[in-house]
Amino acid sequence: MSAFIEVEGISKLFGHVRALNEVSFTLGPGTYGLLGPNGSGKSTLMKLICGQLTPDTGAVRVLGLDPFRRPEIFRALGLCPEQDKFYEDMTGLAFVTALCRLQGIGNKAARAMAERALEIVGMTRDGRKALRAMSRGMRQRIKIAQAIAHDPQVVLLDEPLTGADPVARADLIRLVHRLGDEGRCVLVSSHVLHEVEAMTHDVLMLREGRMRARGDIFKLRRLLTDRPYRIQLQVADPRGLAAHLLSPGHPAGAAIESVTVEGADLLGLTTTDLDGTLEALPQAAASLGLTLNRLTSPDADLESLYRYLIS
Amino acid sequence: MSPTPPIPLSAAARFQGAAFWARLHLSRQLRRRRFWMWAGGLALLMTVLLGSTPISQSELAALCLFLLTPMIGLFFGVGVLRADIDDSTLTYPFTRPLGRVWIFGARFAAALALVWMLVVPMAALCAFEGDGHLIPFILAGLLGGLAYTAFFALLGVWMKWSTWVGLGWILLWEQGVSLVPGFLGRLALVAHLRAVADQPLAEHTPLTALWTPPPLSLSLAVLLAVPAVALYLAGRRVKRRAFVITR
Repeated sequence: MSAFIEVEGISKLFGHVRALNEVSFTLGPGTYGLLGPNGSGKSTLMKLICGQLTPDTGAVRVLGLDPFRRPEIFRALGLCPEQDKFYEDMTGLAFVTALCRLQGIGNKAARAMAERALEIVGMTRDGRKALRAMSRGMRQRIKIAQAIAHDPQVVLLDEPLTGADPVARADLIRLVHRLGDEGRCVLVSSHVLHEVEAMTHDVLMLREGRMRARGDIFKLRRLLTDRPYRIQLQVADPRGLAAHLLSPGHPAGAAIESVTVEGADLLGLTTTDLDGTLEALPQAAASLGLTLNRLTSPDADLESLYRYLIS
Repeated sequence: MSPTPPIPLSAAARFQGAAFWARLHLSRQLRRRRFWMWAGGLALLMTVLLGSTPISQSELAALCLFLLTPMIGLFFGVGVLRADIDDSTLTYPFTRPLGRVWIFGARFAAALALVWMLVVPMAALCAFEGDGHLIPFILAGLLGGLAYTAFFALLGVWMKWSTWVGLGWILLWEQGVSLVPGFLGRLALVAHLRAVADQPLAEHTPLTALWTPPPLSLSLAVLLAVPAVALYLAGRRVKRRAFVITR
């Protein structure tokens, strides 16, 4: 068995609303981003994977087990839920310790687990505060601590960076990287695309309950052949460079679809071969004695891919 | 890390976890204002009833054992999982290897302990006022608390408006049908509580002459069977139903 999470043709209806429609995928070790607009079925999918819901059709298996019917799966699965709800009268440490006790272990071992988890999320000192007195960012870290305290093989993080300050975000992104690098399966659901991009390039995109795309964002972007890449560059003589690139026989010319002089020193072009064009541009500029001051490809990132596939 | 399916917890580990969860929620509930409002309210009521108002033991039992016990059972029974469902904190215990039924059992045990903490002293005070019904009254308090809390816990996991349904059931069915002589009256739990507490209908009730208490053995069996069946059905419901709804 090499799959941590297997989802086979699942559909889920809420009344007449089809939240998920024939969704299938398999996840191995690594970090994955689950993306989609509101109402796309992300939360439903997360709840199905962690056994909070059952699919109407199809099957979900985590480590080969049905998470709704086999509670032992939660010895190896950690969930950071989306909602900001706790037992407010408890301290962070008591809360995480209490949930560790539900792993069927004694108080000392549970407390040691909780303290280690709080240390990992940077809450060693603040974890002793009452939950009701904590900031949103601290509470978010407590939720992550309870999800990873029992050293799970599969970690589900639903909007894990909500409310976290920039330093905490950077720390949590590093933590997600680490969890994935350790060989766990980490699935992160988020609306914030650049944060997902900072965590992983392997994404699952949902729209209206259907899987729109799954895979590496750069590979997915390359598959969108009807959407040529935009490149923008700053150079002293944009017209000269444009003429040179479009001259017969230039190696990059075949891939270039359009060239636009966008300003006195700004050239925009579209190409079907991003890598080849990016490689050819500095050489072309150098052959004309020009220096490229800035070179950007504004639609080769996750946000552009999301815009093309989802919006 | 290669994916390895985990093994289930042992029964001992489950019991240890459930016992911890029950203790935790009992101590949390004991720190809450609503428990102490119930305790204070009952203490005040008993002081007034026993101190200044001339009241017979059967009237006292009718109020405390046969009306307030179901009410207390309703209040704590329907809330066994309801508050956690409503505020979504149920996600945390339900994503642990203990299992949903054990979590429900632990929460029920905590709720039952609270009910008994209120009902048993009340039953004992009622007994002291009369002529020696201490054991029957306490037994009625224990069994009544168990039966009503379990029954309303089942309602709580079964339907959303369980408090209102339960209130209607206490006031209409338990208080009304239990007065009917014959078989129908025995369909109310209160009739069996009367038998255990050895408290027939008050003398001024027009139906007193016709009403006969059910046999004690039958009442004991009913008061034990009702919670057993209710808890079994509630456990099945908790095991099979998805409580966390996507909003």
